[in-house]
Amino acid sequence: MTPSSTHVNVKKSRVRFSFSKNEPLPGDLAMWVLILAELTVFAVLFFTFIINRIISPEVFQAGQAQLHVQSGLYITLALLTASYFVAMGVNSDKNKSHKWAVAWFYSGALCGIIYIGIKLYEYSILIDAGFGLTGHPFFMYYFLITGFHLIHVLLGVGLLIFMAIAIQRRKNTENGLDSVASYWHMVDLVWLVLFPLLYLLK
Amino acid sequence: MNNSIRLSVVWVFLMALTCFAFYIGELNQPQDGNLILMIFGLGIAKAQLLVDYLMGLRAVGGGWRIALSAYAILVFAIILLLIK
Repeated sequence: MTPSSTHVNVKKSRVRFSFSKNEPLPGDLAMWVLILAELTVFAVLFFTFIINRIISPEVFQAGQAQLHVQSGLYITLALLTASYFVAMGVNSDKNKSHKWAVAWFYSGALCGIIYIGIKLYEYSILIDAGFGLTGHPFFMYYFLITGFHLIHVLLGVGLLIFMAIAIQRRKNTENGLDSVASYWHMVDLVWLVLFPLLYLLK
Repeated sequence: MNNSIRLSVVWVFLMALTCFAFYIGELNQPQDGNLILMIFGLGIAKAQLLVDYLMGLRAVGGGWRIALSAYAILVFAIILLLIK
């Protein structure tokens, strides 16, 4: 075997390894258990919402008509972009480009802050219009579900900033980085179900 | 394909699918079963891309990938059954 063919073989095996289905679960197992628990809680909220929507469709449709669908679109785009930045950050950290990893994580956090800004603006418009947690059944569920999701985003943004600082200080972050990234993607996954449910389904 | 390029392609797909779902949802016509199915289908496709590529579970495989992939499918399927 010539040296050049050995080099090619090594390269091929590396590529094959990166696509192998036997790679370990990214992050801590505890985080994945938490993710499953969170997803279950959100699923229960979704089903409660939809059952109440079936019971009184006119009330829910009237409530939904008050929502700004474009805000929902901007929020979704911001969250998806944040998830992309976080995935790029994890990728950069694994490739030892720590400066880029920090930049990606801060960018992800910025997108999360944009989400929070749009959501709070949306809340302020609805509250000014007289809608709140009490009174209208649609808005009771709207504020409950999106508020619960917003708390998760707030926590996620805090974790992203914390991880970016940890990378900057050159701490061993590999496992924590994967766990935080998985948490953030879970928040995004929940929103991917929430967006059509609240804004698009008429 | 380089992992960064792959992630960027997935991100572009996710943005495009979101805009398409928004367009369908905003159409000025009553939402029949097919339209709702399409909106939910786009949601499932996005969730699958997120789980496989951004979460990175495609390389892990096994039960975790199935559980996370099944989440959006199950939730949308149950909602669809309840609506019908």
